[in-house]
Amino acid sequence: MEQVNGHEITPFALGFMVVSMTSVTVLVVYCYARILRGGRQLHREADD
Amino acid sequence: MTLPPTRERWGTRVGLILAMAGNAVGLGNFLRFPVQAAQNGGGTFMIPYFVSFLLLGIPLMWIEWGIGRYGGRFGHGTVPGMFDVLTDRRKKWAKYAGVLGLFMPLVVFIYYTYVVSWMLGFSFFSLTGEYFGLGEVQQMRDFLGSYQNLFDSSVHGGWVALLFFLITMSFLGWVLSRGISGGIEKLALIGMPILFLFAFVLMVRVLTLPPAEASPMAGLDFIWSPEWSSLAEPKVWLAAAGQMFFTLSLGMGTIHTYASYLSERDDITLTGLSTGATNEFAEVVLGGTIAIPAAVVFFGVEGAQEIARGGSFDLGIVAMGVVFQGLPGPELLARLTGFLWFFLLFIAGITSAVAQASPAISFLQEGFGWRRRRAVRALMAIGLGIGLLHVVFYPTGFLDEWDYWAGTFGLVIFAAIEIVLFSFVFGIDRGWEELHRGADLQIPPIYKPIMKWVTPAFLYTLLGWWGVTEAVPQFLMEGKDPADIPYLWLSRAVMLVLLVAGLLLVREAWRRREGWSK
Repeated sequence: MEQVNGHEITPFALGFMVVSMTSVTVLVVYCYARILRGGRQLHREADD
Repeated sequence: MTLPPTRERWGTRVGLILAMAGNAVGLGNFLRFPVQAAQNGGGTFMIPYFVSFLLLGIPLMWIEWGIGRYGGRFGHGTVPGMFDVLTDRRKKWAKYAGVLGLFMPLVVFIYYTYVVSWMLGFSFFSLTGEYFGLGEVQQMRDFLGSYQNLFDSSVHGGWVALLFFLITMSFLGWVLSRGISGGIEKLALIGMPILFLFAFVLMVRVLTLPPAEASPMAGLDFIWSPEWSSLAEPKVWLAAAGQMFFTLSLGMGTIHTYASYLSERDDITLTGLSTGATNEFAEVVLGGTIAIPAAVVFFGVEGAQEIARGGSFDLGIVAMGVVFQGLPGPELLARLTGFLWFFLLFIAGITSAVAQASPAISFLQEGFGWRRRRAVRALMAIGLGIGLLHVVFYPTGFLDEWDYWAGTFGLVIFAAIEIVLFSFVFGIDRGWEELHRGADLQIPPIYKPIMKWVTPAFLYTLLGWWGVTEAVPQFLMEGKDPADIPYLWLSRAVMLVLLVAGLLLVREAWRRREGWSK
């Protein structure tokens, strides 16, 4: 793997990391936002 | 059709999501994922990884939620009954094929609980500073080796590992006996936020470490640097697909059992996606930012590579044990950091172990009319009895044999069966309709052909590849120490006994069911 003097991160590695982490974070936020905004509760909760 | 009144149910949606996420988030998120990424092309590993998530992980997860909820409507909490109703009870073999959904979680539960108990042990050792002073990798290896070997009292008495195994099993029994809502859901509601909190604290601690052999950024570079040539290597794609099974707990039967406690009006599309997303967050964001970067800081890139080659426990226990001793600041803080790490792994493991135990408990309740506490006691007795074999024979590779056949290859076999049943026998049209019953999220229509053609093709390719390259050499015990071979056969024999017992129990449960219906 491409290394930069043992103390840095290459632009490509940084790019992969940022894109990957952002993707899963956006997915998590999307799911929980949908649940909070309009998602229904389970039936027992609703019944209560 | 509604749930039979005697079946338990989840209390809250957030509890369900956290319990399902707890099932998925396990040791693999924090130990296996970074090792796999580092060994399979770094940043480029994420391309097949995300492709696998979209084409294999997500579709299979929805299918398993769907099968589970559908089976639950007929009073089935385990896969034999679910496979039976998927074929409209017309194929007798289906329920026997479903035995895999009882056998594999039970087998994994037994050895996984033993491994999880190590994490409890090392949490305790971190607080007491037991391994502080063992600053070399080999010293930590000896410390761990002595812990794992009942007959090696050079560091620990053999009883120490046994004690933590007993404590872990007792705790699991206590949680499981309290039921779905009162036990498993409460464990998830308490445990999962603690897990994420600990992981965030550790991530910040690792990223703010002063450079030693290398900087934390070099650690991230080690994991994420792309090796473009690896994209053309089949093994990288198959490693990514394999990781999907481990990380989402697919092909085991645990998702089915948890989903069976839902009613037909409860959403599974959005809830299922949420648990998958939560797991991915724990894996990609947190799992990739703790162990490997910490190891790179203390051992340098080459040292970390060497450690990653040694496997997950070399990284998670041996290397991290050395790392904690080298942390700047007072020793008490270093011990606490060690505790955070091992206890985080303990929580991740224990929330998965309760899911692995659930199919067997549900089967005994529904197939034989046992009360939950009785079923839990029986399972704990089996778990302890057979688990002792792992404690005694661990150094011979006894556990690795179970991990391969039930915890790795078996998952793909099970998934290959269930996807054919769902997409072709039950029918993709009925399946699609079933998934959308009470749905809060419309699945993109492209997923219908994906579930019918792409995911099965992906799965059977994986099965064929692993079968040829790994399963055959593993079966022939190539490269094994001849002295260990009798123990490996014993290991297989015990698994075979459990599988046959499962088949006989399914036959007996159906005989009783038919008797009741007459």
